[in-house]
Amino acid sequence: MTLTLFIAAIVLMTLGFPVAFALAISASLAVFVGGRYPQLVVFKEMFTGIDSFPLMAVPFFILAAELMSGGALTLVLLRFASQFVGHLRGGLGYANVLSLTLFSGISGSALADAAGPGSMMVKMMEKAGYSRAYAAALTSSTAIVGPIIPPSISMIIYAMQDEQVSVGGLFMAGFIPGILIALAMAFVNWRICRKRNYRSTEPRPSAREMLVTSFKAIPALMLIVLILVGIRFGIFTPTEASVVAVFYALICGKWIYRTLEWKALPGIAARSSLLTASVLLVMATSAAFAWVLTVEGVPQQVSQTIVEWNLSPVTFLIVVNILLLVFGIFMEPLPGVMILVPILAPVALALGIDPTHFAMVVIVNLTLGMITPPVGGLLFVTAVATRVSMADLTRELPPFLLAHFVVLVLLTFVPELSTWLPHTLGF
Amino acid sequence: MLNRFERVLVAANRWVLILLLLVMSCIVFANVVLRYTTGDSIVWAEEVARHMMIWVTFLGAGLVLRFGGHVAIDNFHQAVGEHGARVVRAIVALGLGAFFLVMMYFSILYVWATRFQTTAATDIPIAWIYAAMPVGFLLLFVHLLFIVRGYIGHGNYITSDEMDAESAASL
Repeated sequence: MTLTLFIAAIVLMTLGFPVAFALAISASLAVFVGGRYPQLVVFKEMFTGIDSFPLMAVPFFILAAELMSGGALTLVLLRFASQFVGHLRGGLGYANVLSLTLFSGISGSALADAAGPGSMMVKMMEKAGYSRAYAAALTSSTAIVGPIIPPSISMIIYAMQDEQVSVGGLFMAGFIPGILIALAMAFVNWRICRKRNYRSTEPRPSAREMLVTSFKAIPALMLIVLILVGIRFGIFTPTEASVVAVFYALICGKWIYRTLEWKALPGIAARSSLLTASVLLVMATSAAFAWVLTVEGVPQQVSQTIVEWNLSPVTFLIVVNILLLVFGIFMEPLPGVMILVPILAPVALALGIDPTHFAMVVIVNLTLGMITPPVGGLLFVTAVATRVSMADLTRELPPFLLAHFVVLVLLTFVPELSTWLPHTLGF
Repeated sequence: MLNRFERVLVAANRWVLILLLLVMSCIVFANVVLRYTTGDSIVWAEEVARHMMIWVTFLGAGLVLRFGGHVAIDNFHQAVGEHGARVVRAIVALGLGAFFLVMMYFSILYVWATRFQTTAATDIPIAWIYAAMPVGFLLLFVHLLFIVRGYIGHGNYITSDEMDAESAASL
């Protein structure tokens, strides 16, 4: 069964079958060839894979981000960010990094970051004399913080695969790694802007102006506070927090910033439900796929083999990082989380690696896969949204990828970066 | 005639998704609000919303396919040249079509097998929820038929600003 499963999955994906269906077809084939279970078990597993209340946070966070990312809200955050750093050399670059990082606290995915404030920021940077390819590369590399700074769809799905961690704990754990990544991107921006002499023409805003801009940004920035405080103090579960975020976003957009019109709502809901369907279908079919792995005892065999190798935790983490980087080149983060985590997380636990630390290494690593060519979904989104060719965008990427890599190494070897905050807060 | 059928089906499909998502949000939100204002919560809220999410997933899958939003790796198509790519895409389309039909058949069996079970809170036959699968696979098959010519010929999907493969890949 296992052999059928893997061969079928690899052949089908190579041929260009959508990942969701490749997983379902190979699970069905494996059940058929194995002959021990009725075909109906595939449906049962697909169904159970998505029949979950915690998972409902996914559609709600998608909807909240779609409601928030339209128009003026994005502009408010951009102004708020650029007032602090806009006047420096490379200022708009820093403003880009800062506003994307702030926006990550509203959205649960990299998509919302890159397509919303990201594409707007690229236009502003180009107008100010930056090369458009550079601005786009900076945007896609920074949008990576979307799924790392809470809320995060990857984390919700990760917590469903590994019962050692909670959504709340992972949300808290994401802060420091997310900020580290943002700092690393700002550092690259500093180096490159100095080399290419991207000057700033923005005047430093007056104290009065800054106060007004900051005041306007408060309602938008309150969303992340609301979510985290709500979850931390048990006021609501992550799923409830996500639906509160939807209505908060609606109120912000409709009555505070007044950029949301009722007639735009169906389009926003349609887009959100299609995104939801595409994510959850992968979730359902990889549940069936993972079920075959489980009944065949693959996770146990893998953990046993790895434990027998007697790897030190550090060596194990290095091996996992290499495995995930290769995996991430070809695959999207979510199927990666769903298929690999049930296999790898128990081994990590057995080796005494903190589950939260391991989760952050996996999530950050797989998220990087979105900006590694040739199959980097985020690169395509940014390229399309900013009308830069993939070739130009890719040419600007190496320093950013290098910086990401350094952060990943840091996260791998310094567990406290991931575990300190959630442990201090009692998760 | 066929054109009209396609237009109506796509619009109906889209509106059902919109309503499901919005109603689902309202139910869960109302439940949170009620818990804090009256101390009571709606017993069926969680279950109903969860099942609506399952319907969104399977009813949405067909439309997502139509707009090319199911993430796939198409590097192989570029490697085998124009003619080869058409052959490969024909294989993919055939494989998907056959898969959808087989899945539809088996999921009908599954729904039939579960017709006497009921859900925990609302006590409705669970078959109504499982029915999302056969309906979903039927829609997938129909949407596949609508796009199959463009897909095999040029690797094209229907374009829409509401969905594309890259957006789905960046979630």
